[in-house]
Amino acid sequence: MPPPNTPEEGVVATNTSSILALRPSMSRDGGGDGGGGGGGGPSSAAAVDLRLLEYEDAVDENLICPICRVALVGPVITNCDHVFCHRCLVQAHALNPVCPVDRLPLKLVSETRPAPKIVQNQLDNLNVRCPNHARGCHLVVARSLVENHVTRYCDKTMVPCPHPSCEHTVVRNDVGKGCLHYDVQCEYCEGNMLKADLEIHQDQKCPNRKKDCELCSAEFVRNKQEEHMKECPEVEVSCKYAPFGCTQQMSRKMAEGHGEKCDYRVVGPVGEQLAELRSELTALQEKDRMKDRRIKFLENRGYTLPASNATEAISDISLPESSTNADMAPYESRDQYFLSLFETMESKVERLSSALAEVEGRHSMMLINETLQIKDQLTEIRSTLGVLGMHVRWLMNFRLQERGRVGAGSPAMPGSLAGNQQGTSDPNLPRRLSDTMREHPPRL
Amino acid sequence: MALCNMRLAEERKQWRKDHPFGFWARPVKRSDGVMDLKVWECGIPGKEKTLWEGGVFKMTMTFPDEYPTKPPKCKFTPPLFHPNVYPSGTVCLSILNEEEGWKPAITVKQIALGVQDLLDNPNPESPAQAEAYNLFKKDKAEYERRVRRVVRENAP
Repeated sequence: MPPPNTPEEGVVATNTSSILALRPSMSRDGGGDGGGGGGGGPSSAAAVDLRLLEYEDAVDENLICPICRVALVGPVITNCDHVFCHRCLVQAHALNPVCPVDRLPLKLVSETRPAPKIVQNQLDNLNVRCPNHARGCHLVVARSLVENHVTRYCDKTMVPCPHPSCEHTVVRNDVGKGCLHYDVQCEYCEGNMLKADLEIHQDQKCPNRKKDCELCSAEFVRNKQEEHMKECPEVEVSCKYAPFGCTQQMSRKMAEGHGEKCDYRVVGPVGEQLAELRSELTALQEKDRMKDRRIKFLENRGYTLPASNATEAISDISLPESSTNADMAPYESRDQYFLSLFETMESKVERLSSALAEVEGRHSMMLINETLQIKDQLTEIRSTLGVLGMHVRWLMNFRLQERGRVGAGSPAMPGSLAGNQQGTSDPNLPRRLSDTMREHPPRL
Repeated sequence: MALCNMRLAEERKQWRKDHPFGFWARPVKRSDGVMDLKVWECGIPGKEKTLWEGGVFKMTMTFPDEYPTKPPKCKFTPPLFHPNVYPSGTVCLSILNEEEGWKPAITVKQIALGVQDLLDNPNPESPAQAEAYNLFKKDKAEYERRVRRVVRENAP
């Protein structure tokens, strides 16, 4: 017969379904009361499962869910004052409708409520490691912020491959490198893998990734060989006084000690000075050569100029006439003479063009200065003109009004004044006009 | 079920961080080398200054998919001579009984300590094997002799 006490299984089943049906609304409640922390029910469906996070410090026992044994996520409190993660309680309750701590019967909907805000705040403040820790993000952040970090900022989050037809995911950092999902072979272990995984493989997984340094026998990751070479204590380096003649080669760890004993350490500073002096010397030599050329040129000019009468061209260099004449050497050929003449002309032209440019500049400056003044004056005049125009217009208006009123005023006056000032209309007429004028003073 | 594995991972973490002296517990490795979090092997030492001192008894904890809502099954391998251990080796303990004392808040550490306590404090109300129960009830001297032998056999 169909019993009034339905089998227990049936009861449990109906309970379960009703609870599951109620879950979404519970979640929303939890989230609303939990505030923007992200620890509420809705976040459980989001990118970061807060229950899988690694906590930086040991979490206080009071903040640990007795069901999942990690820090509470979306905490709810029962009427019997026990706190659980919302999801844990729902799951446990579906199997056994009692409080998981004191085993007293518990109604999920009516006898639980979101835990107090202070609990949620304490949970939000717990420091967690970024879930992309394994991929190399070492950030430690408050739990309430971790989801934001992972979904928006973390370089190590997996995002869809930028290639349109590729369905793999790629670390956000590598998005700019195009599709990395093609097969490559690891050069150390000969295993095949995707290019995207190669670096992590070689850094962390490859069985042959480590190598003993041949020199210092320290173990290092093959991928990082260059970095190791820069600091390996056994790598041969030359003495820091090598530029000054020390030819010794020794391992890096010895180099320090050698530096203090090197025979060339006295020479070092002197050598540096020497190098400085040498560079100064080359500069001086260069200068000297230029001077030489110039002198030669002047000498040549001294020889030809008396004939060509062009002394005024170069006025800033005045060699004593006697010395020029004394050292003067005759030209070797006509070509040379013409060449020197040409050079003179060239320098002259240069000088002239520069003078011209200068004059031009001066002129333009002068022009600008003057025009500026003129412009100023012009604006001043323009404004005065405007003011004058206004004056004139006002006067004209006034005159017109006056004339109009005198013409049309006398017939209209009796009508307008009839209501209030009948007896005194005539003697008041001129005065009223002046009153109107005073009431509307001219505005400029 | 995700909750089960998550909780077990957390239990493992906590155990590694801190566990009572003399105990050991670890998930077994399956034949393919992957760790099976749902089966743990552990060693329960006999409490000091009791009959059981000096032995370490090997026990297997098998966690159901519904864990932690349902309790793990604890089984001594080989079966232990004790009034509350079934001939199969399964431990009969209130906190390990879903209908009685189990609650999800009980940790692996608490189970281990509970079983250790049970060794020297058998519960005559719920006998599980006739041999040990009868001796415990009727012939204490023989019972103690048998226990000492078991301890000797299980000395680490």
